[in-house]
Amino acid sequence: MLKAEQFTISGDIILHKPDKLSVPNKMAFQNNHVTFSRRGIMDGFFKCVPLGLGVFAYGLVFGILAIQAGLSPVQAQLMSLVVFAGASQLMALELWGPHLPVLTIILTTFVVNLRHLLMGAAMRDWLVRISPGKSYFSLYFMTDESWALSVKEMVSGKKDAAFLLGSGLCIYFFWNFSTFLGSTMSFWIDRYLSDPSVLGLDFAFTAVFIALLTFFWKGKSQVPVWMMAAMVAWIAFILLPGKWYIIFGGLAGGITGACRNA
Amino acid sequence: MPDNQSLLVFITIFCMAGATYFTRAGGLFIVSRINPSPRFRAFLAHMPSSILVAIIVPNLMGEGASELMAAIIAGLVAVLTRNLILSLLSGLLAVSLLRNFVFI
Repeated sequence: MLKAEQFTISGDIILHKPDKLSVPNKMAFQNNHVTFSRRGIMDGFFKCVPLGLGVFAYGLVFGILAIQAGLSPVQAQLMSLVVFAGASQLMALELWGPHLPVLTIILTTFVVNLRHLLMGAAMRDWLVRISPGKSYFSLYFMTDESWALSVKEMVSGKKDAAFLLGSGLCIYFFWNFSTFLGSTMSFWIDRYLSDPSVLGLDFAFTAVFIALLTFFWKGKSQVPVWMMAAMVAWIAFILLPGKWYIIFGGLAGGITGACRNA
Repeated sequence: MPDNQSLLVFITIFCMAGATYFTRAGGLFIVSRINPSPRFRAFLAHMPSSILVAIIVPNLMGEGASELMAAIIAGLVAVLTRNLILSLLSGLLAVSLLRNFVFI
């Protein structure tokens, strides 16, 4: 059976001591009738509102930066509607330019979102007991925040799998609404300010990524991983064309982490 | 913007969506067959933050003293407040003050 895991908002994994969690978890699903009701959707939606407000801030930042990176408001909104993944959307903006590095953007998106594989897998106790259509529809809306809330419900023995969909829809609503506000705001700033570098907006990406990075800090074990990522990225930046240094740095950090943790 | 460029933008966005949904749906699909090893989990866990490092470091290497100091300020505010907006605003304020008044 899958070990219960929990992700923090920033997408990092905390492994629980399995002896404590797996037993009540197993017992809760001995009598395993899982439902998928409208009440479950509402319950998930409203319980997720506080987390949605946090996502709202990120969406505002995404909307503002998307316009600065050269997307139109429609394109920014489309990205939030169909991709719906904060970290990878922000990273895509960093790569955005007049000559779109399409392959690098798609690869980076994929690699950044690999953690979803584990998150989806961890929801198995609910998702294998409802119809595949409902499961795979719910998974479209799964985010770090709604997942964390849903897995808590599932492990505590709740039986309504629609909670995952409801909490995901809540995040979807806040993410798209804030993208709209941010991009509209940014559009007008662009219109009336001939040189946005006066505001330091060109520095905004770096500031956002530094802030996000500090949220990932989980202790000293991170130091060698990040050092390796920085070194490899720097070397690749000098040696290779385009933005490949991002993928190489990320892989180097991941491999370093894997070698040290196993 | 020329037409083929905006077509490329739409293709990119939809491919991003496809790649993202693949990761969201793939976990449930795989889970009954393979159980990821602790080593692979650690790899996945360390990748997102390493990508951030890989974006930030080469970006800052090419910049001047204003950007480096503003980066430190933005990082400190993020650590102290754990608030993205505050950290962004203080980074922007710092970089525009430093650029215009200190390191001209």
